[in-house]
Amino acid sequence: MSRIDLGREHQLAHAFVRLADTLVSGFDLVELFDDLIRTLVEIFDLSAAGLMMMDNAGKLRLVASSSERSRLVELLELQADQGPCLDAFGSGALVAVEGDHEQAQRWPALSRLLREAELGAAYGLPMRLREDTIGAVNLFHRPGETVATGDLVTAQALADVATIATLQARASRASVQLAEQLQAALNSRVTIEQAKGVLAERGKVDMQAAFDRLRGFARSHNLRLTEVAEAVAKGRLDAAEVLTG
Amino acid sequence: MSEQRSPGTELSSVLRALCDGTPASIGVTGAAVTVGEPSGIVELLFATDAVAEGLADVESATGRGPGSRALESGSPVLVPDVVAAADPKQERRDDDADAFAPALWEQAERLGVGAVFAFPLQLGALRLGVLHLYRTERGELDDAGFRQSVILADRLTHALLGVWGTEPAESTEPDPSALSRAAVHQATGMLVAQLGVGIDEAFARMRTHAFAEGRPLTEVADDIVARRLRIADSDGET
Repeated sequence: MSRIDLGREHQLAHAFVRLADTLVSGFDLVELFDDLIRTLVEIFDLSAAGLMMMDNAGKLRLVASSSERSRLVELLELQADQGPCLDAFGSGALVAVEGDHEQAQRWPALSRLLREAELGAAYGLPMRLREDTIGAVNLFHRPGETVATGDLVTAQALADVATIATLQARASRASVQLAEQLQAALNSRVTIEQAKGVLAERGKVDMQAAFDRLRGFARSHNLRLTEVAEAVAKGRLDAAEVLTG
Repeated sequence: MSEQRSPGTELSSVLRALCDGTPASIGVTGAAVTVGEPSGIVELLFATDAVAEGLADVESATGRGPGSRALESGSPVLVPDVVAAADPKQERRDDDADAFAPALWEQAERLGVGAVFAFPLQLGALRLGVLHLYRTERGELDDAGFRQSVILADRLTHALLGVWGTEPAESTEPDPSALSRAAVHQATGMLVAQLGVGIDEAFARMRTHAFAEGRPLTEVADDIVARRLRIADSDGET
């Protein structure tokens, strides 16, 4: 890495500014959430993270994950039914379940998957602003390690900024309702999965590489991730072009 | 739409059952469901009343209206005041109404329609059709009405995709929760590339395969993503 290590405080400051920037600029919710998840994993040196959002039927759905490994994705998807995300979403409060035994008692199916995926302590951070809870963030550490209380507070603050950005977007465009935005973000996630499939098959790469190419292409061409994904899924943008950058 | 899911009477009755009670739960007067691309052939599958049908017909004929816009953009199009939207002198915050055919507004006013709302029937980049709602009184759709509309649009989409409500009772249980699994959409994308077909056709092939083998859609999708299964060009064969 040629980049100078700025230290964690600098990284954090940058992350806050970047998230706050989405308050004023137009943004894609899926990209905002993806950015938040990556930032959390990097800054707190976590094993994995994910973000789940409520759909219109009130059920949690996966919108962003730190890795596209199918094992992690499945584990996150299970949290619609049990786990720290669901508990944090339901209570509106931070949930920390660090020990194997406690995990097994609270969430039997999830704790099995956690061990298989070699994940340890699990945390749920609500995405909540006053009376609105829109989803929850999931953090996982390596077995035997835990996240310090101070770090959890900071992580929650980052999640709060992302939540405010999401709700702010509603206030600034009166005609666009929160439900509409969340719905768009969920559909956008489906489009991204479809596009990943096209790229993975055409380029004979795995889902992680497919997502990275998609994201890289959107960034380098200054396009929204959702736009690029839709063009790829519909065949309006040649997969080969995205695969080669 | 794929050949094997061409809407028949069975589907119509499912749609009727789904839309039954819609006006009351959403706070609108009537509803209609159309399938097809705005640029191509639009087919009216179901309407709760003659006004809803009339509106959908005019929109199909002109190809320019809230429904077409909803399908193109993938977002709901809400017109809380048809009269204001039709008035060329009226100041507007967006240019949506300008793009709509004047014939649609004339018809809407003639039929005594105050507000129209259109919701896309979609799954990611896969766009199937539109749920059209109208109300005789003007005014915004409230939050609860909006949420109910989106839920109804999802259920209609599931029915049209054949993962909800159209299966014979003895077959594999229809499972709309399969659509919350990332692998199902990844597999659809892989089939788009493998078979060189559109996203709707790719989904239909995967669903048909699962149905023929009596396996859950998620299992078939996992096999495709893990590259353990390829669905060949001939329908349902591996």
